[in-house]
Amino acid sequence: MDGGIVKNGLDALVDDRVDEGMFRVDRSVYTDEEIFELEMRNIFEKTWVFLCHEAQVAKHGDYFWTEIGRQPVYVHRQEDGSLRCFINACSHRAAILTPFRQGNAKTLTCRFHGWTYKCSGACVGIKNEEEGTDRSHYDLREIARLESYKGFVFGCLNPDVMPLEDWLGATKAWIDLMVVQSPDGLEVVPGNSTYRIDGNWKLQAENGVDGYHVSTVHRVFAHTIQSRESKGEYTGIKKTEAGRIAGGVPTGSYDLGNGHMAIWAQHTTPEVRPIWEAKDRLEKELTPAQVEWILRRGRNLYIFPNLLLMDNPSTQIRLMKPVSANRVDVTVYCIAPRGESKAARAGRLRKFEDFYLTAGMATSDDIAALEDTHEGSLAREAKWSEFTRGIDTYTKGPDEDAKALGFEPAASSANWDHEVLFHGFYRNWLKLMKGETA
Amino acid sequence: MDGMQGGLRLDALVDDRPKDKVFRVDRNIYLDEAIFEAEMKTLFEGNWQFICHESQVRKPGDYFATHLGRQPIYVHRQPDGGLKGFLNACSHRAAILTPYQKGNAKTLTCRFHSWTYKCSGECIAIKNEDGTYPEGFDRSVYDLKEIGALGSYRGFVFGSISADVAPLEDFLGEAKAFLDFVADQSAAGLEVLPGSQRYIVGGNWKMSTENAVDGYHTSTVHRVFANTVRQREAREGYEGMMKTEVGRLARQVRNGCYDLGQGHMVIWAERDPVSTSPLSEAEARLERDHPSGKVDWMLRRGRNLIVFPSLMINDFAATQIRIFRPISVDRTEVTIYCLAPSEESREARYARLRKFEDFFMASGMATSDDVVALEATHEGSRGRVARWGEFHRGMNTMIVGPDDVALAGGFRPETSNTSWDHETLYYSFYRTWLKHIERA
Repeated sequence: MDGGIVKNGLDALVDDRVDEGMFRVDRSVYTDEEIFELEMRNIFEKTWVFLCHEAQVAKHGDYFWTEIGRQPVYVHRQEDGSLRCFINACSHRAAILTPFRQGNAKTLTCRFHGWTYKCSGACVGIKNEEEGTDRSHYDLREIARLESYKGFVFGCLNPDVMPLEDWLGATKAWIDLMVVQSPDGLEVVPGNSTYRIDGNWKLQAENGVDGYHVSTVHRVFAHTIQSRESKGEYTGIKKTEAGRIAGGVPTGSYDLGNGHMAIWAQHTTPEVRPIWEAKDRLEKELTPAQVEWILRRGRNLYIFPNLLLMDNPSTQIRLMKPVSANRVDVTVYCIAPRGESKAARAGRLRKFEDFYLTAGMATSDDIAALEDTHEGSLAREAKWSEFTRGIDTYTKGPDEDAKALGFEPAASSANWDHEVLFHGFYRNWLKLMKGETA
Repeated sequence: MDGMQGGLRLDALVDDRPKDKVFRVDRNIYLDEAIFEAEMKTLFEGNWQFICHESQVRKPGDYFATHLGRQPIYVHRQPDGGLKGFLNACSHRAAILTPYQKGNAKTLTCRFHSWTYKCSGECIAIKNEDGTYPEGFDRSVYDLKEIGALGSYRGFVFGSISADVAPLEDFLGEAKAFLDFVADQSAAGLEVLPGSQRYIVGGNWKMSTENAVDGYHTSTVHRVFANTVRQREAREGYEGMMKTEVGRLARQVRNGCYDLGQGHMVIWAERDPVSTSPLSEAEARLERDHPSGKVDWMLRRGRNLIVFPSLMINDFAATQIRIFRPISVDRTEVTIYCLAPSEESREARYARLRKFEDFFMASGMATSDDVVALEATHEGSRGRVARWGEFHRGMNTMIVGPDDVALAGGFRPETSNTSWDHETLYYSFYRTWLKHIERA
């Protein structure tokens, strides 16, 4: 028995020799339980993790239960309008305190022995309390850091983590592209879908910004949509622009630093996009570069380690929860500009269902591909996964598009088929795994 | 392994003292995760494993996907009739390449990013290749990786992840004779019949292997099967090949067991009567083509063979390939196929299939009882204080070397014994097992 990949050297897992035209990753990063354990400790419990959108906890008492790595936490809107986040475990015997994933409660009472906590985490009720008990001893454990960027709420268990905005870096310009679509901000449309992938979480992370698979895995989606739309019942924003799936449009990809990544593709028919109705206003209020990116470019943004923000046929938050080396749970939410028209909202929701829901026609194909990939990764003798496409054509730093919008990627590629963006992902992964700070 | 496991010496796992009339194994071997890891590495990924029968990949382009240990692989029939075996993982990002468990394809295209490979494993297409790779890029670096070893004996295809293995025939040793007894039944060749069944046993794989050559449980676990079949046959008036010979279940016929060496094992029992066997229609042909000592083995004796560590070839009520694939220490995936001479009559084929269903299928009346017994055994093994699993029945009657019928059949077992109730056949299995584990 080899007694552990981790002990034998994490460096050997990422074969990073770009100068020699080589970047590849040992497939055991997807399958090894010991590596997974270390990811939980050194990545998910050490750095910023996306928790929820502020719109999901808008009112005093609104709570949202999620996980940081494997640790359950919940975000609770306070009386003064601020947010706090607590470890979701009763101080008495650890039962989780939130009866639902999302809800509203000024106090939370444990369903096991009736202990009660205020919004603030203060322990305010102990059933059959003994005289002289100092209840404050049992106040809930608050997580070390909680910060929000333009409505996107992140938490961290590590008090020494860098400020959120430094961590987000170049992704901020991309988040802004979502936020500025409405003067009233974004809302998270009610409802969500949670599904399980029998594969490693990093496969889902990669897939969210992998343009190369689209013309293979989603070919059937494109054909189905095309044939449905040719029957004439779908016009205007009900249409899905399938042109980019067939290729032949400008595309690109970015290593945004800190493990963050993004891809984009030009829309062939931007007028079918729900946001098209806001064209005049956007052109008045925003820079030409912002307008171009919002209206005419589909974008997938990955924020390390657990968040995907997509604005392609529809707009979504895709949240990843690693369960074990060979399982990740994924939850999708549709996000939308507040105040959009009924027709735009209907178009957005139908396209969200078509592509992003597991009951739809695209995500289901992705899941099959990812599970096939996890299974194939078990063929240990075929050791390496390849990330070399575009290795000698990328631009260090920003390309012209990035400069125009005003963000600083670590590397730019003029094609979403290229794999250079993943180099930053795996370098950051390795750095954190080795216990270094981001 | 380092010689110690959970405070236990590895060599203490098998208490091998025939001189003291003791042979027993520590039940921890069915439970321990570290032992399971070592088994995967040495037995299942470092040694020969059965893959499929040649009839399952007959034509150029036919592929068959399975696992060696935990690693997905597939074999692919080449245009020149040769067979190659590959790790089932795209060279790009590891997605498995076979859309189905078996099929026919001259090329395989990955369903993730459309990379395409020829039958030969050669990478012949990378989607949007132009301009995306460094100058001088050579696509052949992405040719598929072949498995370490691939070989075939009388139509039975074996492979190994590791290239560091003995020649296949040396590995098979005396088990070859028992593969011959099956292969020789047909002049036209054996075929694996369409369809298969797969089920999970909630227990360690070694219990399934043991059970495959355990005659002792038959009169207990399969008593209800025997009674049910007997009643049905009397009521419905079954005749000839449609009858299931159940005499041996009541222990009225000669039977025995062999330790074939190298971990291979056999139990056998006389057929009673021979006319119930679908092969009985070929008696004259067999007698003409083969020595009678061998025909006795092919036709007149039912046989269960274990090829170390986990392939069962069974020729009793029907003829079957049964593969035990360890999933985890307490889960075993079992796949069964019905095997038959391709030239047999419609009537014989019909009888063979009905009996296959009756006994061997998970939906039949015997396998289901075995599964219950194996899961009960796994559960009981958790009672760690009762430490030992016993294998000492028949020590007094064990014959070193061949008995009379082995000599007539032309094979030389390490030991023979006079009853299939006896447990001496397991000795080389556990000795070989221990040798492998100690190597890890």
